[in-house]
Amino acid sequence: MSKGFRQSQGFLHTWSGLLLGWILFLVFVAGTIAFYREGLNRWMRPELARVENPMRVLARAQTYLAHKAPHAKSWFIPVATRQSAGSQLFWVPQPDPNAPKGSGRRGGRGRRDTQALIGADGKVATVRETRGGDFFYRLHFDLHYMPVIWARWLVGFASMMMLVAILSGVVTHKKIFRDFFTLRRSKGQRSWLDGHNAVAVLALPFHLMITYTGLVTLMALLMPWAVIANYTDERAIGAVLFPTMPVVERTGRAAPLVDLRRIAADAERRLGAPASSIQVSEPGDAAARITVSQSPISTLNTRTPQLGYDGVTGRLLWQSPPTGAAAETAGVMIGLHAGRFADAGLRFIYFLCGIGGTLMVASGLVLWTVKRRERLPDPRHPHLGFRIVERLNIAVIAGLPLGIAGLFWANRLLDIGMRNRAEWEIHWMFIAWAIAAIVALLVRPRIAWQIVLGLAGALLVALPGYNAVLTPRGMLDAVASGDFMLAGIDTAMFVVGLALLLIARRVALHRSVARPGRRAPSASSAHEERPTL
Amino acid sequence: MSRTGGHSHAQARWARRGDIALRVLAAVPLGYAASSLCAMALARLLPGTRSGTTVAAALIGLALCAVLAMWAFAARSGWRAVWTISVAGGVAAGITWLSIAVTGRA
Amino acid sequence: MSCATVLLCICGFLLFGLATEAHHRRRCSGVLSARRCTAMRAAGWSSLVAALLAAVIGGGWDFGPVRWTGAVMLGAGAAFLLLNFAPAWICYKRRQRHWED
Repeated sequence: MSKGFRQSQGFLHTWSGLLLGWILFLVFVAGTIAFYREGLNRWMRPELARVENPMRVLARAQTYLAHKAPHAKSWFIPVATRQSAGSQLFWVPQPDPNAPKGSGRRGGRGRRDTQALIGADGKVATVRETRGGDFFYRLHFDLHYMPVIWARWLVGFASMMMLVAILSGVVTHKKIFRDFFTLRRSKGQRSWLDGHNAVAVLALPFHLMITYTGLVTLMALLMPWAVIANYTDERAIGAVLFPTMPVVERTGRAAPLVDLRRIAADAERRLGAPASSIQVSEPGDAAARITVSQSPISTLNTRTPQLGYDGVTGRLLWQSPPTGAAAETAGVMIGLHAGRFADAGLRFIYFLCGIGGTLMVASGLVLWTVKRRERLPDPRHPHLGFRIVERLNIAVIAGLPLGIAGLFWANRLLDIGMRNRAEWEIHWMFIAWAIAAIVALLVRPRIAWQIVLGLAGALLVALPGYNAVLTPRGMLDAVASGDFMLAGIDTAMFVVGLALLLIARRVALHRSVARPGRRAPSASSAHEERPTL
Repeated sequence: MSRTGGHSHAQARWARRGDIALRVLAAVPLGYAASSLCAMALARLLPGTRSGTTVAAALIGLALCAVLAMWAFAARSGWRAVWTISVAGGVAAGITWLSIAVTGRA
Repeated sequence: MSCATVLLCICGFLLFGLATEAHHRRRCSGVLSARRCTAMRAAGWSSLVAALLAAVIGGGWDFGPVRWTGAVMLGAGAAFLLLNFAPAWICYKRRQRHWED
């Protein structure tokens, strides 16, 4: 490869990585945490017991819905598992013919009065109101405080820049496999470069996969043109790719709904795999239909087969047809991104790779400042671009962990009966983050790093202690009852907090390479061998 | 990247900035447009079921966005990047239009 | 998660790492000749292939490659950490000989 080509890709790599790098950092952090969303759903509701009998939860869910929303248009009941907090069900009321157009429900998630959580004991969970781990899942593509379409365009655009950064990074790295194991310590810019290369190259398959498949999950938004080329009505392709049981009109004749446990058992037997969710349309009516979806835990493809039953007789009426190789491929790609099929071991590898990706983005952002600091003509008065990047780095790389620590503490400390408690937990995350950003702006960078990282680390390290003393699910209780997920989350928080404290300490002890007044101190080491970037 | 020998230092800096601006133009709006048009052309031309080719074309279109962005910066000059990507988009647009005119959409 | 797959990957990457000049000097005795380098790399690749077989046998052709890829990354990371952060006295240095391998 010619030198000019490599140089051009090096330039592209730097800027496509830097310009939206802070958004990518947020996406990576939130996405990595979201691999344990179910565990966090439970961790953030410490009052809840573990689900031992999923079928019992299903039966009680049906009873609850029959009592609370007997004439709803449809019910959505996720089948509880040992890992989930319970059955987070919701229902869609009958459309009101008298309501003016456009005043209809905003969306399944937002409305509080059409959803409920059935816990392990079969009762509606009267626990602290919280978004739980699902918040992190949503955060990493819907962001917050903005319409989701804007957020997805922004995240999509940033992800494309990430993909370009990865590909150009691979191309520009001259000896990518020979430098594989290189780590030069305490050598300023070169150490940062080696570290950045290490986390990037060692988990390169994951980074490539997660970035490209992330774009695939947003494919309908980002690349709808192929559909437009082939179809006049996008619903036509939707019917092929996401087949559903034919809709039946409500008859108005009441008929009792069959026991959903029977349906679930029959479906699991036919599918040869667990069921993940049950949707009932027109419950309590003679035209009731039940659709059971297979759990994504059993296959790579995220679009799992479905079975359709008659709601009154329980007879099998419909099976989802196969969707073809291309649709399978797209489904597998989305499945690989979400990792719902992953068991405990593979999920932990996903998590470690996600941390690697986070470190890759963070080290890249810091490397930019380290490299340029050594070349500054006057280190006491850097140019505006440098100052912006330096401050943003502190505000985001150190600030986001502080925000998340704030979220977890808000989850513990906010008054249980508070109104809009779930939203306030999230407000507290952004409040803590804003405080970190203000510190990053006003305080000298070196001190700011220490303050924000130290505070974040201290808060995270203290959480397991709080759990042990003031919740029924502390570390010892969790291990004693065999609940390794909760124990693992406590451990992870402690380890991450400790790491942040150690980094803060390292910043405090660091002797900077360039002294004010000395120009180009690295001229003497310019002839050393170095990997290119 | 292109070199501007024989100009003053400031002029060279602006020439370089212009070159980069052209490449960004080629990579982002033009690159996305060309990738989308290529996806449309592929959706029309690839063999297989209609839904299958649509999905395959969209998957390729996404990858093409990244590749065209890399090409925009690897090209010998900014202008070259702009016109090659524009021509590619134009050809794809022509193919798509012709195909839709002949066989129509579902 | 198959232990065999992960362990084979760690071995493979340790072999790749030790086949590089700097790490070989630090942890192995003798000179890194071209022949030894090729032999170690071949052994490393064999280890990775064996890991793939173990993964496919354990998980089939759909989950197997996914587990293998995970194991490869884990193995690379573990080897990287071991080679760069394990104390210097952990090495394979044979007693002084008069001839090189």
